[in-house]
Amino acid sequence: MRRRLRSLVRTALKLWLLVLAYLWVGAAYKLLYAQTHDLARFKSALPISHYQKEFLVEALLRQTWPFGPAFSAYIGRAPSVAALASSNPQTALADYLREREATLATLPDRYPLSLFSQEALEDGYAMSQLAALLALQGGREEPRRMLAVTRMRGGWRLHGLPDLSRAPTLARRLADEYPESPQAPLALLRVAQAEQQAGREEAAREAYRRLALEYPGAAEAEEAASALYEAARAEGKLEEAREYRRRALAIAESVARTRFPKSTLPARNTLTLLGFNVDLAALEVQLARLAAARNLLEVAGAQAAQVQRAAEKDPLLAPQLSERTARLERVRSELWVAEAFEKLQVGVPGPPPRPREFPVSGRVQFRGQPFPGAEVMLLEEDEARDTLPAGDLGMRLLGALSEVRLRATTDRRGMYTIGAVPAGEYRLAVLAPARVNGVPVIPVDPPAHILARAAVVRVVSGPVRLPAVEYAAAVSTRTYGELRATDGAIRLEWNAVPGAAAYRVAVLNFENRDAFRLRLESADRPAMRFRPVLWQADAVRDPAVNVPLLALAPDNPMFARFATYVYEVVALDARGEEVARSALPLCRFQLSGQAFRALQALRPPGSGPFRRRRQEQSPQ
Amino acid sequence: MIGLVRYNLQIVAPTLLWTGILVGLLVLLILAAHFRNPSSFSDIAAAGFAEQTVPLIAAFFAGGVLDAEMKRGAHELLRAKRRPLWHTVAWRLGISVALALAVGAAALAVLHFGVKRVPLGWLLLSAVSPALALGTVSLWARIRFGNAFLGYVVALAIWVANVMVSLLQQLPFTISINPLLTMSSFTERLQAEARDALLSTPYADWWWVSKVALLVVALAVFAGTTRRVEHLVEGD
Repeated sequence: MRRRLRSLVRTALKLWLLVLAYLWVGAAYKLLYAQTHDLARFKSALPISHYQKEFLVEALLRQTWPFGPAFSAYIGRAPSVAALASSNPQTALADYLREREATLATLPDRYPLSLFSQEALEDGYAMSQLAALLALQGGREEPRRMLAVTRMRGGWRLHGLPDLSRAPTLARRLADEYPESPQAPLALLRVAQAEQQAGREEAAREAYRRLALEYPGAAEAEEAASALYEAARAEGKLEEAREYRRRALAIAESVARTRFPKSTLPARNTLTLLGFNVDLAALEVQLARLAAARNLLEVAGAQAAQVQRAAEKDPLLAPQLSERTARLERVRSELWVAEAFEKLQVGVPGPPPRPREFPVSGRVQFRGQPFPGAEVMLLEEDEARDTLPAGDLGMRLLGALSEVRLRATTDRRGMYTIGAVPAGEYRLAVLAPARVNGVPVIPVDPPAHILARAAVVRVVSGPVRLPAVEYAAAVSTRTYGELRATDGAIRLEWNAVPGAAAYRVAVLNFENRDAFRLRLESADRPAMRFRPVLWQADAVRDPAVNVPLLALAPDNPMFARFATYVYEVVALDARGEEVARSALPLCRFQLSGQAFRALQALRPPGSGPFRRRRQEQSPQ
Repeated sequence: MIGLVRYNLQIVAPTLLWTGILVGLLVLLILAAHFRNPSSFSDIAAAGFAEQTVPLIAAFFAGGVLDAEMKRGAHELLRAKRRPLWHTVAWRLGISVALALAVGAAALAVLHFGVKRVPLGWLLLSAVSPALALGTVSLWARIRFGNAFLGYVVALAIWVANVMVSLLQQLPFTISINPLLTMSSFTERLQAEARDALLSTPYADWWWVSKVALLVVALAVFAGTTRRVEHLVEGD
């Protein structure tokens, strides 16, 4: 018996060693492959780096140790499943990512000869961003910036954005300490974009110039050249803008030909080149170099015909092609006008007229004073739609924002000018810090007589001067994130507002409104779509209120562990008029595990309809 | 040389009776499926047949190559030859794998001329090292456990594991366990080419490294098998 048992153990051990050997050999091969190839080529459906994806199994089985402590530290351990299954998995994951970010940021210092220092900084950047996003969604951190977008019916819709200021530090380290790394161009681009978003235009341009000069063959250099083109064009430096656009075109073509050496450029790259040719032609028209403009338009026209055929097979290309051909036609008509003026020998001072692009300018103020550093954007209808879903704090929103072309940052006087806005209708959006000197700020609705006009920016036939965007101090709320329950209620608190006689408090749920339908009569459900109020108190005297837990319960109470709520505090004066209101992105909360269990305990077995139970609870 | 081939064939062939019938049925089924649905047959499907099915056939054929002596308890005859033992094992193994490759080549040729043109040479080349690797594993398991059926089961288990690992790599979020010791590296390369993603698919350009690695595995297992047979003989 004993011998049989020993034999079984020996066999099991040999099998396990065989499995380990299989894993180690595979890991060694993957490591060798990663070290000898350009990993930037390999894209994955998962938002993780190549090493993290390839060594996921080894990380789960903790078999990264054969390749040294640096590699083990770089790959790290997978997040705990128990934490992910908790009541607030976003926070658990955010904490895990912050820890990983800290480990990866110090890896080059702890292991100076490590082969993975560059990848560690690159992954640390990604983890820092993801941690900031998840910390915001999980209520661990408040948003540092807020995006305000005008609504069609007037007023502003606010979205909180995560604090991404830590990530560019890692990107800068990568670009400065490892300039020969294949990730250095992308790191430098991220630094430039971060400087631009922070309103430091000169530092951003310096970074873009460095990228275009030091990495002329990198794909990111195209974006750098395009950014410098936009900046030069906004300042009216047409020659400089043309030079940058030419450089961007040359880089785009070079990168595309390297990527597709033996075939004609694929449709998407050809669209990029077509766009560059159109912009260059537009600049040549402005500089009155009509022959050069004509040549470029011929090339662009030929490319458009080629892409038209590809767009018939690929529906995703159709909108891009439609937008580009519209621009192509516009530049052709400008060329026709310019040539007509030239033939008629009519003296036209300055560049030929460009009938359909005009500047849009305005001012952003806080308490009547200039508000510098606020980024003002004009969103086209598709872009506005992307930013409209309530509570969309995700990478989709950030991704959509980074694609917006029409933008400018307010200067010292709070003034902004967005140059060369094509004729059309736009929605105004302002990206500003969530707090100024510790005080939360929100844009104020314009006066009623210009409410409708301010909702949509119409560029028709001349420059547009928009009404000033006024920011005011918001109600400073103190409750945020995961909340515990006390005596069957959640306590919300805020700082008292001078001049406020009472407060109107409402608890809403934008992100999961469909989970709260049963509580309403069917006639009330359409209203819930725009303003999903779960609970309301109209005349609260103290700067605090207890919200009954049962009022927050969704149709399926188990879902409460995933629900995210916001509360709105409106300070009212003695006449019942609004004095101030809270900033919704700073008023998010979720139920903690304890509150969730308390909510489950409140649900009586075999109770009647949910609505009856809710009516029994009276607001404070 | 031809005499040796004929001699080993005479020894190996009778052991392939039942496995030959099974393999024949399997190949007929596969051919019938492709002829019924010719549009589903492509280079990738042919590569899948070459890299997945041919090694399985080789495993079935190679498992019983020493049965002529082993079954009758006359394994000391293996040592009673002028040539070294590893020669005998190598010849028998080589013949069985060559037979498997011949079956695969015949099936692919039928599909090549009957359904759609495929790169026959490359497909057969890509089938060699997986067939050798799985064949030697089957033989080693047969010798180790003293039972041909267990030999087939071990080889089948490894084949199933390889198929599952390959499937994991096909997922949108690819999970890469061991891209080196995989039998279907050429199929994955063809899939990447078909998606026009050759440059952006990891390991597709180093598909031949897997073949070399499998050859090394086959050699290592072969050395182990020969030693085991020697000990088997000496143990008597």
